[in-house]
Amino acid sequence: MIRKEFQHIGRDPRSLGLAFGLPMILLLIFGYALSLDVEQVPLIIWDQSRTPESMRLISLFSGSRYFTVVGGTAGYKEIDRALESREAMAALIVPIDFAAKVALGKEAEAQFFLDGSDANTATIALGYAEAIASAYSQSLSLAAIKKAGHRKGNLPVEMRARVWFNDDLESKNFIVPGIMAVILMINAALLIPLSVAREWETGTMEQLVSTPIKGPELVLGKLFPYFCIGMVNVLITIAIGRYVFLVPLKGSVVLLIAIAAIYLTAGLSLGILLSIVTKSQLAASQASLILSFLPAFMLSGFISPISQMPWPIRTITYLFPARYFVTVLKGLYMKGIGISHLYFECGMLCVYTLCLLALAVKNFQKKLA
Amino acid sequence: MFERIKHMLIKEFLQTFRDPNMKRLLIVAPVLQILIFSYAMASDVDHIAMAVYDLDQTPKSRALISDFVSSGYFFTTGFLTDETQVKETLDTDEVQMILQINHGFEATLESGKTAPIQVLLDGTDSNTATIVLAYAARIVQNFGTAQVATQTAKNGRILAGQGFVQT
Repeated sequence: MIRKEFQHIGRDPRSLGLAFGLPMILLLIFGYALSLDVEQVPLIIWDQSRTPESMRLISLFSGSRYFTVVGGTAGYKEIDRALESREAMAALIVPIDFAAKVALGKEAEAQFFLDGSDANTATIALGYAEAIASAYSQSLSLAAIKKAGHRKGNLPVEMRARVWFNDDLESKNFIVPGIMAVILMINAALLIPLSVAREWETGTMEQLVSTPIKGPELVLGKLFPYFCIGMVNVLITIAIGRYVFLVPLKGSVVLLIAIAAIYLTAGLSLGILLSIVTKSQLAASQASLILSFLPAFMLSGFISPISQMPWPIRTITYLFPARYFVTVLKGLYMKGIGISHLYFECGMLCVYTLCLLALAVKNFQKKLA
Repeated sequence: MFERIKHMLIKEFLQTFRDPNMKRLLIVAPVLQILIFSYAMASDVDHIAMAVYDLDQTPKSRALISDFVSSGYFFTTGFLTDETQVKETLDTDEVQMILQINHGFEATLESGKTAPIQVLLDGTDSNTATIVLAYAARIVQNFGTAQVATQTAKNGRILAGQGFVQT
């Protein structure tokens, strides 16, 4: 049975390409394109004040690596046009009474416009702008405190931040390992349903059934070749992450491979189950796209953090194996923690896999009876 | 020509909707996807789990903690009591941030020196961490400015940057 499956895959160069080529392309595309770091936001400036104070504020913006000044304007119309034509993503307006208010020690305002069509980038850019504004106002308070002579020119409180697990806050450190969860799901979700459903559609399933092979054996035989392909993909992903993207793996490689194997089996069992239930290549691949690939992408904590989702959605994430695997990937790649912290995730993946396999075998026998 | 296309259309629709699996797939799936994924992908960061490691235990340190909570962005999951819990808490994914106020915070603040505050962040999700860092910095700065204001009872607040998001 296993030999037959390998021959099938080997005979069809297209599915072989799909098995190895697609994951590689995905890894490279996502690794480079899905960088979520926001830098050099194009900024347009309208300085109504034209004073040393406003110049200083602007120089703080232009000096930071997060913003690039693309031009100055004089009017809301031009700002609108620049934002609409995507020439600029943000606009800074310093009002005419800025310097006067600063001199009086009153609350001076600067207006900051952002293109919010990409909410993620906008939130981060807004965070940078706020940080710059508060740095500026901190330097002003410091000067005022010095002048008042009350506190010997000291800042009252200073925040010292330490970022753990990802010192430089680089998104690639997590994006690259996280893609493994998606790649394995594609492996499982696209290839195996096609193969099983093809047997139903061409009628060869009946031939297979008439041989002495039993239901569980047939399911396992279908599963094994794709499992091997998936594991090769795991190794390739680890290697590319390590040597192309230079992403450090702090935890144990052996544990990573072992848990990846469980996760892969879970995905493959889901694929088999779906193709047994739907019996058609089209429906099976559609259903598994929705039930495995998309959740692996969006509900796993890979792209958007689970902790920030509303609670009904957070509950739903527990239904998909990708959530557990992504937690494992985070833990192993970035935190360097071991099995003592990950036993819950591993256990859930095992339970998931066994349930799906049992369901697949049971459904298969029912379909034949 | 349009007559022929019309018949073709009718045939395609009949074919598609005859299969009950297909019908379900075409109608239920998109609705569910829109509901679930749009909520899942919302990128606002506004309920950040925070553990507090307060070694000072004074009115001032509590005031700072309550500033964090009342900002609406943070909620406390618990209070840590010793150093080993710090690593443990960040390792287990329970919190996004730990606020550590060292012993002598209030005394330093009152003596007119700079009182340091430690913020430990989980950087695994670099985006969220960047945003959390900006929130925390703003809260701490406002706290400091308010302290100076009460102490000098003079200048009050000096400047605040204001942001608008235009969509």
